[in-house]
Order: sequence, then structure tokens, then C-alpha cells
Amino acid sequence: MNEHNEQLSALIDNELDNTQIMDALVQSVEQQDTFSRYHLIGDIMREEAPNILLDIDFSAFVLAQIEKDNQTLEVPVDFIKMKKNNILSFTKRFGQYAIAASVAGVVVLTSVMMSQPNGSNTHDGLEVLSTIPLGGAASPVSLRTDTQESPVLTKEQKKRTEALLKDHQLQIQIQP
Amino acid sequence: MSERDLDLQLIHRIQRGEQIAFTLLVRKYQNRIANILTRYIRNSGDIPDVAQEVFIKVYKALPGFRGESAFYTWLYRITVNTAKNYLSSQSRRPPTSDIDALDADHYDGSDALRDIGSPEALLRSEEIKNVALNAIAQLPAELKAAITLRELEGMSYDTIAKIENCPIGTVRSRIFRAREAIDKQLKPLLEA
Amino acid sequence: MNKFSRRFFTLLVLFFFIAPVFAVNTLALGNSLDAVSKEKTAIVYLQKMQKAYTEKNYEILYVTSLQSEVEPMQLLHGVIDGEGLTYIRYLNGAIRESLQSSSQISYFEQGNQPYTLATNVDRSVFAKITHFNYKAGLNSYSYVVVGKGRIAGKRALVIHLISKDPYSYSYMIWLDLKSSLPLRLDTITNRNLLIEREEVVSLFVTEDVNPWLMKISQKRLPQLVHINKTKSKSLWKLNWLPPGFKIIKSDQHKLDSNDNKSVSYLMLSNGIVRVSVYISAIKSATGKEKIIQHGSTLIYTLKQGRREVTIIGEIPIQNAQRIVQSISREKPWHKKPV
Repeated sequence: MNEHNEQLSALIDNELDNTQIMDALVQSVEQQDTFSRYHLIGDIMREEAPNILLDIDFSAFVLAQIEKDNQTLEVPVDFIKMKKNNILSFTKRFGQYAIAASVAGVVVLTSVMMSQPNGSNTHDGLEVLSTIPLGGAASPVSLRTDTQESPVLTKEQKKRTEALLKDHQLQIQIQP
Repeated sequence: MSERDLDLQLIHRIQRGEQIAFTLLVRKYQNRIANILTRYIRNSGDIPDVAQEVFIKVYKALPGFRGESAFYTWLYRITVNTAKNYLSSQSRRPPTSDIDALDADHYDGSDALRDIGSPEALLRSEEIKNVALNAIAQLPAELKAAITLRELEGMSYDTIAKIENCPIGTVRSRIFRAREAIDKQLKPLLEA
Repeated sequence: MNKFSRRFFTLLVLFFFIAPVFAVNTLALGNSLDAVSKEKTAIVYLQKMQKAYTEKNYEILYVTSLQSEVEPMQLLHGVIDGEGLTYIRYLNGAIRESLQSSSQISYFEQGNQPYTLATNVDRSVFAKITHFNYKAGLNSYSYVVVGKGRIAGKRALVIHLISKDPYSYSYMIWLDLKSSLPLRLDTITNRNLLIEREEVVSLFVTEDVNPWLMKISQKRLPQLVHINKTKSKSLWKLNWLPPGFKIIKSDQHKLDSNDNKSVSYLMLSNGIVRVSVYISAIKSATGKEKIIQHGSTLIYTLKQGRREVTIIGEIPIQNAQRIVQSISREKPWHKKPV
């Protein structure tokens, strides 16, 4: 592993002509990520890294688009024609960006925690996140607030919840 | 020497039909290309799309790449041309992507704000850079010297060995250990 | 009668809690009027509101409030060559805008590439209550003209949409007596708790289409995002539906292009809200419920019997809990007659 990475390091410096290490690189996702990061280190040292770094998997978006072009277009088209084509891969758009205003708010979901009033938290293992009545204390019914830390969602759960909420936002606006 | 050139090795493989070699080429150059594009394109939200166009062009043009110039020179030219095309296509068309820029009287949204891009992505990128730079600062002197001469001065292992007065194998090992130490800090951040 | 007076009392209490500053014309609730004719009156007003919302030219400034967040927004609506066009933007913070016509919506967000989605689902602030079939809705809601109030400097009529069961929220609607346009919408739980409010602070109705809206209507829209349709139906079915709800979508799809697994998906709607049900297979089940509530939007998750179910929508928890309990495997080889 270490030896492999040392060879990888030499390979990216053009100091290795061993095809074996290249074969290993082509087969190992882990090595490919290391390859990316080693280059990123160089980019950062030379101040050749952009303000907003591209995703480490950026190449996947490029390949997806190339595949899409191959399917939908017979002749290679230039950039302007592509724009006119006016269809964009949703996978790419959705992989990279949020869906504008419609998902605003999802991030704050876990910021505050309150228990449900009356009864509904009697179940074992029930977790309730973030239900604050409108207007706080001035709301029509006073709520018993729980000042304890919320059972914070794990990163994994948060990611999953965001993905579901995004999908819901999308589904409710596209045709059945 | 040319068989050691990583770009040429990758290009040969691409020309043989190994798609993964193209992935590696993109991975190698993606941030450098994005960095060039930032000099031309104000809205950082557009950078990934234009960078994608650059690599699609590269993919299509690679079968004709004869290696008469260095690959990076060739790539640089494509990048700049794509950026210029993008700019002129933007100015030819009304800026549909900027509703707010159409009519300043009706729209008081600050135009200056538009260059910022996603504040979150910016913060994350800054954090990554800071972690990398701190890790470099903390390297033992001989490791720092080796990687600096390689990455900043672009020197070969042979030249570095002469300057540092040590065997080539030591240079190779020092550069790797430097990268490994920095990568140890960087890896968890990029996987998050 | 006893029942009625109890409701009457609840309404009054509710109303005084929510809007104590408004003079309430309690005469409208006089016992001499029978419930049926009052509901008819309410329906007439509600239908006038729907027509005004889609057919008039107007500009509103409004705020949406849920939990501690208050978001000021602007909406322009115009009818150009017979087609309605709505422009919405956030007034604070990052620039976020949308432009919607009858067949598509475009999103513009600071720092991101704008894009267009093909849709005929109205995404504007009062869409929930302006596309509902109020006559058919009588099965699950009752409508009561509560009285009059004042919103955004306009005299407003207040109508209460009361859910007849605990599986849907109730609503209070304020509408402008002059233009019939909606001015405020409160979402209320069956414990009379206000959980979300959309409120107009200024309204201008104009004869002509706003010139700015006219101008952007001629601009080219950003790229249309293409969404692959899946043919396969959900592997799971619901054996219970909340009153008034119908299944309007059933499929299997991926949440994300990077996902290799598909989830079974069902969408329910009662004409006011749309609810998503996601069912996916998991390895271990804990029987643990997870409830996230953001304003009236609920995200309910239950892991149970090697499956994870997540329900998202503007419904009370009881509804989600009952839906989850009713889920069973779809058996394609046992085709039910009907």
C-alpha cells in the first residue's frame, strides 16, 4: 500500500515508466482518489486551485455528459449548439446543486429541538426534531420546551433526509 | 523520458480505448482548468459547466492529438477558447440567466453579490486549502524542501538530488513522505 | 345542535387566540343560518378567490412564517395572451427567484446555474387553496365564514376550513372583500396550534400586466432539466388512505444519480397537499420513529420489519403513522377485480 503510493507519487512526477503501477491505478478507486489528492496538493502549493474547488468526482459528470451526447447527438456539436439543444442531464444538475429555493430550510431542520406536547412522546425511542410553535411564547398554546440537546441526526441520516426532501420537492412538481 | 511522461501514458491509453485513463486526466487537471476559467468567468456557479465543456472538447479532440506540443499547452489553449466562446455566447444572448440584471430599475438585487457563488462551497474549499497549507508548514525541513522544489520549481528528481546532495531514491522517498503527511490531513476532509 | 355549539365555541376561542386584534363579526355565525347554506356562501367566496388568483394582474409583498423564521417575499402575477405568469423572489439574503408559466417553472439562484422544470403544478404561495375543488372537498372539510378582519389595509373575509378528521390540518383563509384575492393563510393543527402562516403585507391589483413581468416574459428561459420517467410501479401498497386522499403516483426511482438502489415511491394528494411515501429495504429494523417537523411539513421515518418508510408532506403525525401501519407488499399475481 505504502509502496504503491510511493510509486504513485513518482508516477505523477513523471519519474516512473512502470506500467504495472498504472495498471493498479486504473483498477483501484482508492488509488485514484489518492492520485486526485496528490495533484490537489500541488495545485494548492502553486496557487493554481480555484476559489471553489471542483468535486473530486467531477470526472463522473464529464463522462455522464459525454455518454449522453453520444446517445442523443450523432455528430459532435460545439458548445453553442449544446446550449441550444436545451436539454440538460438532470443527474448532473442534481448531483451538484440544490434545487434552488424549494429546499431552502432543510439545513436548519436539526438546529433546534423541542418535545411534542402531550403524550406523543410517550413511545419508546421516539425522536422529534425541531417543532417550535410560531411566534414562540406568544403562540396560542404554550408548549413545554425541552432544553436538552436534540438527538442529533448522524451525518448519514442527515444526508439521507436531505436527499428524500429534495426528491419530495421534485416529485411534487413534476407530472404524475 | 517521454515514456515516463504521465500525460502521454494516459493519452496512449485513452487512444487505445481505456476510458478510465480519461478520468485520470480530468482528475489531474480539473482544478487547474477551473482556476484558469475563474480569470474569465465571473459567476463561479458557471465554472463547473464550462470546465465540463472543456473536457468534453478534449475528449472529442484527443484522437487527433499528435503530441507536437505539450499536452498542457494544448489543454490550456482549449480552455481559453472555450472560456471566450462562453463569454461571447453570453453577450450575444440576453442574459436570461440573470433575471435580476435585466432591469436595474425594477431590481435592486446587488449585482456584486453574484460573483460569490455558494458561500458554503467557498468555505469548504478554503478549509481544505488551509489544512493543506498548515500541513506543509509543519513538514520537516528536508521533506518541505523536496516537495517545494518539485511542485513549485518543477524540477526533476535528478536535479533535486544534486541540489540536496542526496541519492535520487531519497528524493523520491522524501517527496512521497511529504505528500503522505499532507494527505493524511486532507483525506478525511475530502471524504466528508 | 350540541355539537354545533361546541364547534362554535372552539372557533371563537381559536379565533380570539389567533387574531385578537381583528374585530370579529360574530353575527355571521348566528344560529338562524343553517350550516348548509353557510357552506354554500363560503364556497362562492372561495371559488371567487380561485378565479381572482389565476385571472387578475397583481403584485403582492408577503411574509411566510414558520417556527422562528420569517421570510419576506414578492410575487408578481400577470395574464399575458391568456396565459398566467408568476414571478416570485426572496427579498432578503441570497438572490432566489422563480418564474412560472402554465407548463414550466424556472429557478434562478445566486451562484448556481438556473434551470427549468416542466410542470403544471402551481408553486406559488397560495397554490394550496386556489386549486382545490371545494365542492368535492365537502366530504373531508367543512367551511365556516368566521367573520371579517383587516389584512394589509384591506377589508378581509375570514373562512375556516375545518378538517373533519384528525388526518389533515385545518386552515384559516383571509380574502380581500374587494378583489377576492387571498391575503392570509394559517395552517392549524387539530389542537388549534398555529404552525405556519403566509400573510400579505401589501397588495396592488392592476388593470394592465406589470411592465417588468411583461419584459421577462419575452426572455428565453434557462435549460430544461430532463427527468427520466420510470415505468415500474411501487412494490408496496397502502391498505388505508386518509379521508379525501388518492394515490396519484406510484413508481420506483433513484433518489440520486449516485445511488444504485431504487426506492418504491407513492404520492398521495387530497387536492390541497401532496404527500410522498418512500419505502426501501434495509438490513436491520429498530422500530424507531423519527419525526422532523418544519412548519407544517412533516418528515416521518419508521424502520420496521426490514423496511424503512419515510413520509414527507404537510400532514399531521397521526396521518403518517397510520399510513405506515397500512403498508404491505404489492402482489402482482393476485390481481384484484375492479
